[in-house]
Amino acid sequence: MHDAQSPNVPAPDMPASDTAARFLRLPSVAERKLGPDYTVPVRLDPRILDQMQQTIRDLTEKYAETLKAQVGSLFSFVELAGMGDADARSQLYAMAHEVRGLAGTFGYPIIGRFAHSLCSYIEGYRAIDASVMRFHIEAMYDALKQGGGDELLADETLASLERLTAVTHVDGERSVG
Amino acid sequence: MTRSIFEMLTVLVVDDSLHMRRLIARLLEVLGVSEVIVASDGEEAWAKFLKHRPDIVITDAAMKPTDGFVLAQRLRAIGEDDLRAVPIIMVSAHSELSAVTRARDVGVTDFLCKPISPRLLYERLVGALNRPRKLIESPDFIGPDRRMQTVEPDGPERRSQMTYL
Repeated sequence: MHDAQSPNVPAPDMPASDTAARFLRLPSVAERKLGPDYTVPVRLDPRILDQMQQTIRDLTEKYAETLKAQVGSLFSFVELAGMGDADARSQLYAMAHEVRGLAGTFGYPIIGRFAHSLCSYIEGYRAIDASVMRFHIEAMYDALKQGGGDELLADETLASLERLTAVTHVDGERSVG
Repeated sequence: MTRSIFEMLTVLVVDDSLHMRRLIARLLEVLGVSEVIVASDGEEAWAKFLKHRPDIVITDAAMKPTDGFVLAQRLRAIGEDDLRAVPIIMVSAHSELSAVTRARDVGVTDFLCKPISPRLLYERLVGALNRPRKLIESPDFIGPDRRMQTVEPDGPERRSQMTYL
């Protein structure tokens, strides 16, 4: 179905060129399901929101076990990744990436920030240093032991990690950016 | 009480993290979504998409072997209009502009940064459900209009016709 209101659609008697854009306009999913006047309420019912938050809390216990195991596993890749082992680097990155995506949702935002910093470090440098990675993981481990960590302390730790990265990579060679 | 739209929805959730798949699926169930299909990468998602014809796709970006960007491109290239116009919400821990731009350029409808929250997930869903499904098809792009809004000049038009084009 062509969008009749679009000024860029060729008139019916004009041949469309190969490079012409075609505009497709279909009704919204809400309209298709419940009729032309229906829109989904923008405001989320607070009772449903409570239930959703409770769902996250219910899943948190299971996630906490996984997080603990993941942080522990991260240590095992550090030495090899630091020596240039591509597989270890890739596994370490994948695990840290998962932590950065999930930890915040399940109530561990500080661990998510450390994981984010670790991912950025791995993304940013061709040659990565084992000690920088280890300090990141230790920071996650400490935060986990403290039940999530302290925001102020996390700020200071992240600033220290940045300084450590700068000192370790004095040549400034980056793989990205 | 009338039937909620969520009870009429089939949503495909694609993520290589079991925890994230489970989380999004449960949150959708709380909203009342009748059918949640899950897949752990773009390849599995493609097969399940063709089989279940979901109303919305929520996909992670980075997955192996087939990531969310490739999945989005494949979905936008389907021959059937109604399937090709499916709203795609990309969920990613990559919040940098380059990731969002890349998602937009493969035809993703909306982008949600991890960590996700129930409220943000709901907002993205509502946006995807309420917006007309408008696609632009050109030789090098198939997807929603990449311009987020059209801003008309404030004041008299001073550009020449050539510049305006």
